[in-house]
Order: sequence, then C-alpha cells, then structure tokens
Amino acid sequence: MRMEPRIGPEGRDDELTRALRVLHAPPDGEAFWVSLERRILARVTVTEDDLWWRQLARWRRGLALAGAAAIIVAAMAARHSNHLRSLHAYNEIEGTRVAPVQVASETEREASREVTLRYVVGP
Amino acid sequence: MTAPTAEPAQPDAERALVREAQAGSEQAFAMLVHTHMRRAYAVARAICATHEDAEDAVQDGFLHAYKALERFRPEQAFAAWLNRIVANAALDIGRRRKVRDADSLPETLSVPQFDPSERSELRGRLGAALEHLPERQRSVLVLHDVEGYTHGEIGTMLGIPEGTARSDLHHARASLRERLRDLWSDK
Repeated sequence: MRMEPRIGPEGRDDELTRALRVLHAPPDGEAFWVSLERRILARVTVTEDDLWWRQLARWRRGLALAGAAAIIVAAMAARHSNHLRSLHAYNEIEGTRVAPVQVASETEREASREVTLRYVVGP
Repeated sequence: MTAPTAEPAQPDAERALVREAQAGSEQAFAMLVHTHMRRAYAVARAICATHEDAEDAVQDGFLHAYKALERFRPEQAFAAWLNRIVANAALDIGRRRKVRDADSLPETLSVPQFDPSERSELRGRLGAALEHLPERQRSVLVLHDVEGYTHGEIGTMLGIPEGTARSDLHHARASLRERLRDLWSDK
C-alpha cells in the first residue's frame, strides 16, 4: 500500500488522523452505550459506601447544628459546675465566720439566764 | 471520526439538572450521565491503552463526579469539570496498569485490542507505533487530532501547562511519522 504524506492544517496528517480515529472509535451500536450507562448508574446508586456518605451529606446541616448545641450545653454545664464549686468554696470559707455570731447569741442567752436567776434569788 | 455525543443540554437546563443532582436527585444525575457519557468515553479512550480500561475509567470518573458533586459550582462548565475527573481516573488506571505490568512478563504487556476488521497495514502499524509513544504524548495526540480539543483544554484535563501539551503534540506527531515513514515512501 502506498500513501502519500498529506499534512493537513496545523501539521495534522490527514491519513494518520483518519487511522487514529478508526483505532479510537467507540464500539458500534446503541447496545454498548445502553449497557455502559446502566453500569455507571448501578455503581453510582448501589455503591455501599455511597449510602453512608450521601446520607451524611444530607444530614450535614442538622449534624452541625446538633454539634454546636452540644458544645453550648457542655460549656453551660461546665460554667454551672464552676459556679457551684465556687459557691461551695465560698460557703466553706464563710462557714468559719459563723462562730462569732454563735458566741454572740450564746452571750445573749447567758444574759437572759442571769436576769432570771437574779429575779429568783433576789429580794 | 469524533466520538458521537448525545444532544448537548442547554447551559441553563444543564445548570438546573446539576442543581437537582446536587440536591440528591438520582434522576437528574442519570440525565447528566446520558448526556456526557459518550464524550467522557472519548476522553478516557484517548488516555487508556485499551477499550476495556476506558470503560472502567468512565465508570470510575462518573462515580468520583457523583461523590464530588457537592463541591461543583454551577457557574462552571460541567463538561470540562467532568472531563477532568474522567481524565484523572484514566491516568490512575494507566498508573495502576504500569505497576501491574512491571510485575509480569514483557510478553503480557498491554496491547490495544483492535477489531480484526481494522487490521489494515496502516492501522496495524499505527497501533504498534502508538504503543511506543509515552502515555502523555499519546493522550495529547488523540485528544487533539481525534477529539478536537484545544491545547488549553488538553492542558486542563491532563493537569499540564498548555505549552507542554503543544510540545507533546509536536513530538508525538514527529515520532509517529518517523516510525511510519516507510509506509509513505515504499510500495
């Protein structure tokens, strides 16, 4: 077979290009495309890991909100716990200062007892 | 012969389809598959050495596209975005094949499977000559001369600068002409 080199536009060799196109042509017939389309869709819709990521993607906003809510609740709980702890510490400290009040109240009680005694014993 | 394509969707209609698919409509994604499948196959076939690998690359590419759909911005061209994903899938398959072939005997290296009816002298020789081209040069040559993509589009698809695509094309043509020179001059 003899072929003259025919160089087309932009240095393209028309004969070569034609042969290349034949080599790379897709299989003939609609059946191939129908089958390929079916296989693509089967992989896309049935892939197992697809199910979880797709579901996850759909719930992404809800999950983000739930996460944010959980963080807020945890922060509030921690704050509340700190508050209780400091209140407890305050009470511990303040508790030691109760003694003078008790002493004062004891003194008051003793004084009234003394008055009663004087009344009984007195003339 | 350029790979046959289904009727391209109007940009607005396609954008709407993409949005529906992003919202989870499998039917909308099926429409996108139907529209772009042939072009995607042509891109994959330009990169893969065999028809079977090209089929796998198209399936992988669409699966990756489906998973990445949320990240696609509707103002982009869907075809260009998809072609890049399919090209990457095809390049991945080529890389995996190289690793596999490195472990097997040279006789079992992948050889394009040609239809017997295509075994004319030029086609047979061309198939063999293509095998000797570096993968990227072969891909650039086919994408440009067979599929009609521009150097810029090829660069985007293959992740190389436009100038590199241009130079790869030049070297690929020169190499093929050199290998097939006797076909032009001898009887």
